[in-house]
Amino acid sequence: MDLGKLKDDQKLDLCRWYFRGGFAFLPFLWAINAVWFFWEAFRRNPFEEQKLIRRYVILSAIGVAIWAAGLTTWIIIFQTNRAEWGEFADKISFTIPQGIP
Amino acid sequence: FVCKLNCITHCSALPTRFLELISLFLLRTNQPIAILKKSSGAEATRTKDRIYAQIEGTAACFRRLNGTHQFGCSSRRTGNVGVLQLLKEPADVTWLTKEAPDDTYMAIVHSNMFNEQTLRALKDSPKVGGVVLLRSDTEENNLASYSPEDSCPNRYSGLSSFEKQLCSDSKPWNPKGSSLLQVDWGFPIFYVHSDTSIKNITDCYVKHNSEREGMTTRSLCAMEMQAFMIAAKDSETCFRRSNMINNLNPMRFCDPMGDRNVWATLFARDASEQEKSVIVLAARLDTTSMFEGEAPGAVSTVAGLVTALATYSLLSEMKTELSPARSGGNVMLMLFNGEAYDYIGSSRLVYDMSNGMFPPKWSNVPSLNISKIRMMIELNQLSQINQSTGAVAPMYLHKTLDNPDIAKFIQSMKSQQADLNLNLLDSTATSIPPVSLQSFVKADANFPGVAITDYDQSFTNKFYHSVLDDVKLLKFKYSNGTAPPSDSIQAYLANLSTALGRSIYELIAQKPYTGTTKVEPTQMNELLHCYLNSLNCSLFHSATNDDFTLPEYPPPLYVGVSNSLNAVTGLSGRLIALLTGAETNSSKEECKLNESDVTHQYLWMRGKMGAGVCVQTTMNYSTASSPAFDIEGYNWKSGQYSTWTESVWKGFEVRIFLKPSYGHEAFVISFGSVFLVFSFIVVFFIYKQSDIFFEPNISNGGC
Repeated sequence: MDLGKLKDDQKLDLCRWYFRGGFAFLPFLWAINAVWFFWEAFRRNPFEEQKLIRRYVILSAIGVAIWAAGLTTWIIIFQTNRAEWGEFADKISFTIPQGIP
Repeated sequence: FVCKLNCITHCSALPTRFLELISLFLLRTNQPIAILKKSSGAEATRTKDRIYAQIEGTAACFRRLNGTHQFGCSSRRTGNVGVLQLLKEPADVTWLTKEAPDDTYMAIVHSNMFNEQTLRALKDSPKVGGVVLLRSDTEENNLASYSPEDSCPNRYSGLSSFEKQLCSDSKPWNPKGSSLLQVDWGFPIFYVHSDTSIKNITDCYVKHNSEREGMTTRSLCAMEMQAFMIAAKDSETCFRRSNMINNLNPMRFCDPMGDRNVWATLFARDASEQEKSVIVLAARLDTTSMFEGEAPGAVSTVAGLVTALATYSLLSEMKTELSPARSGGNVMLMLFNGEAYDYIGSSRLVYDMSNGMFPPKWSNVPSLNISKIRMMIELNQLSQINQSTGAVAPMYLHKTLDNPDIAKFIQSMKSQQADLNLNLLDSTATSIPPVSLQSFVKADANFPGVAITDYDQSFTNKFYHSVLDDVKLLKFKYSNGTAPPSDSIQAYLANLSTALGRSIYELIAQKPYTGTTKVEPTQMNELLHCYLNSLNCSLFHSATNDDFTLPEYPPPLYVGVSNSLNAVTGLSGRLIALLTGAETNSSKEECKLNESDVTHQYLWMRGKMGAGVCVQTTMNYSTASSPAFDIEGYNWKSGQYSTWTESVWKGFEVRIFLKPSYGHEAFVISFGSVFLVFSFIVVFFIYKQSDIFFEPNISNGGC
């Protein structure tokens, strides 16, 4: 999709929907939102909708950061403790690795 | 006709003509296309076949697990690769672990070096990626002992919770045991028995690797082993994971070990069975070793097994005289499977008996329980290994307690020593050896039983549970056509069977046997041949029908997993039917289970005449798999029942190839990278100057 072909209020709509969509446990929407609209929000000469777009971009970026921290923490804890947790770890695993405890 | 680059999409005539000219230029023949086509046909070898040579005729060490640990060998998922190194003496091991250049190695050993000392040193070294054991008749003939089993077999099961019955480490049952089977090796171990493969490996090693000087600068012969095991940690974990459904692709991690027990009764059982009326004649059906498919078990299993079969067959011949005098007594032949792994078969039988599940409820015939057993006579390891020159090899009688029945039995056996040339002695051991009797004494402390073995306080078999417990160790030579010599193992076991049969007769009939029927050495000859030399023997041939194809090799006696039934169990059952069953007149279609007569089975087989006959027999099978896998919420760490499982694996593969030196590999990589960068530069240059190289655009149909 080429942002250049859209009018400014359409851009704001898109940014807003991506921001709202991210609340459905979809942090990648926020990540894309933050990257895609970055130029529009911060590098372009000011235009009417820029303030709102800027807000959505900042909030999306914060959301991604929280998700990244949370996922990283959980992944580190799970990977290091999976073997010790035994049955509980097996129950929450989608694929159990072969050949190791 | 070489098109400008941007009209490639329109050039359909380009490929064939272009290839022709190129091949003409390269091959300088008149028929370039034919040669190109030929080399893409069936005679071409794939590139990987030019690099790797498959090693056939191998047996792998694999992973087994019990309730608390994992044992055995496994490779990485992608296989283990190592440079071959032959270790002839302990100094070689020290060189490999300390001085050899930093690399991964595969140690080649013969049986003289395949011992605890060497293997532990290799296990601790990070340079060793695997071990190859080559079969070598010269080394094996000189070997004094090799037993990978624990020095106290079944150390944590059976009667191990009773202090008086503990096998002490200072005077263990299996003093030559090195416990190699109870170690979790971190690498694969393969046993190579094929002569061509052994030659390939040794030749490759001698040609490339034997010179230790300058090893880092030349190509070396290396081996890749694939033996990835899917299960890990212990049986509880892998069994739980196998039964868990987490996704759409359920995986099996391990399989419980087990098979079937075989049993038969001399007289058909009925509701009039009394307490203490059944004499059980027992033997083992299984053995084990470190390598898959290699479990000959000549002394540990086959000798006792064929003696039990021959004795039971003799009793069957005595049936007419025994029947009027039996007064309710009966003889049950019991062949236990899985005894090497914490008494799987016998503990399962005791469990079934205590729950009224053995045999399964038949109309009005009650199930057998332990109190109905008058005495159990077990035949364990039998051989002439302990023979001093000129004398008869001794056999030892281990009894579980003193009672009049056992005393009568022993007295009856000893009274026949002179006539049958036997040497029977009372064992001086203070505890019961690792035999199936342990499962019964565990359930009932006053269980009367006698075990007949060739050892007194420690095994005479120096190769217990190894690949070398084979026909040579038992000193069995098949006597084709003539009668076996009187000092052979066939005559020895035939005499023992005769004495046993007659003593059991005397126990049941309350009077000595006065007839002349005995077990002939020729029959023992045939029985031993079937289990030690070749499955394609006359007895098994007569006991089967055309549905079976009998291979030429001897049966491996490893118990295996419960969901895969062993050939030898079924064949042994049929053999019992052949030797002791009653021939009927039924045709092949009528030869099946009779609704009104549930204590008998009907089997169609070729029979002694070879013409095909329907045999009626009391022979049947019973499950020999541990109750631990059936009991809900069983405590896997309790040690109450066997918890042995076998890991699932994808496949075993061994192949050798030439591994280039580090310098060679580095050169190839750097040359390739440089060439890649160079090619980018050249193409970029050509692109920028394309109007010099190619003609300007002529017309539309030009290409």
